[in-house]
Amino acid sequence: MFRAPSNTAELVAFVVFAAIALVGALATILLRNPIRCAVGLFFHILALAGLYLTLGAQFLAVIQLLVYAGAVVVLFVFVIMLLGPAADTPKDSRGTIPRMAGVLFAAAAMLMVLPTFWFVRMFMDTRPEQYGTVKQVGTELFRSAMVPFEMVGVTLLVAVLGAFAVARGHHKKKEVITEGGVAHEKGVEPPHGAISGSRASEGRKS
Amino acid sequence: MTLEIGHYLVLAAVLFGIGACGFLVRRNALVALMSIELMLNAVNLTLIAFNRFQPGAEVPLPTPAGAPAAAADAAAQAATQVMIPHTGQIFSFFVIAIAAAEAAVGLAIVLSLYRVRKVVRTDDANLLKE
Repeated sequence: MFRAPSNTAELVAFVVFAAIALVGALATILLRNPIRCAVGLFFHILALAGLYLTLGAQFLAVIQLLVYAGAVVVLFVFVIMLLGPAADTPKDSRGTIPRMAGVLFAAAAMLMVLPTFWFVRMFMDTRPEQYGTVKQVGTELFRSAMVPFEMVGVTLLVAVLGAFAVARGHHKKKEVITEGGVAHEKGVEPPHGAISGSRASEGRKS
Repeated sequence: MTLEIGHYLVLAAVLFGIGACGFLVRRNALVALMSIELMLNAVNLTLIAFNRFQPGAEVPLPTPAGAPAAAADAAAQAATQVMIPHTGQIFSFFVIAIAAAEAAVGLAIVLSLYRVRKVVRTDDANLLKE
């Protein structure tokens, strides 16, 4: 079997980044304060970018930093700041047993998968000269993945529009002006009935 | 001791398991979304690891038509103009793009849920049930 010469630097980098990634992932799911969870996710993502570098995927490491650390984590932090104290959910012990059962099943599935990796023995050989560069990845992207690339662009556009539409809310209640004054749409409770009524009547006068 | 693909696969499986457990356990919708990101990242790591350990044969690129091709020049170009398969990296590029879209829409839904319920507990997201 082919056996590559041992590369201590790569091994050390792998161990360090793997440890940071594991600690970051555990911090993400275990800490109570959502801001701390976001910081754990941030370190997890940084470590994964480092792991991509050990795998020779420079382009994807940069993309990971730009998209995840630069956009997704910042978006999470924005939403946490926007929600304020409501972002932290109080302790609640309802439904603990089903959740623990779910965790047990997830852990059991993971443990069942792990031994199979023993049979996949591949060693890292010296990588080709231009492996993972922007030129190579871009060539492949625009040659064999052109249509998916365009489609993912449209998907992102639709996602942005959908996020706008969902998050914008409906601040202006539809008002139907009748003879007796202001009647709101059926099923919609006026938040400040007197104020909106007076506003509407002022609007009618002018 | 050398790096094997098994190291990366075990790490990715453990990270995926952590993400799955977080998604199942946490009641905070924000942390549930973060757990989804953890799982997607684990899958990305697997894809990139397989791509690195078995990239496949190089594909020669066709020379662009109309280019003046001297004999020595063409030979020099043929040596450099090859395409190394990056299928796993392309896959994980798309996974990252879809994950960004999912985070945007998911956080918008969380904000919307907060408007209605004033909390972001996943237990309270039962508006369709009532």
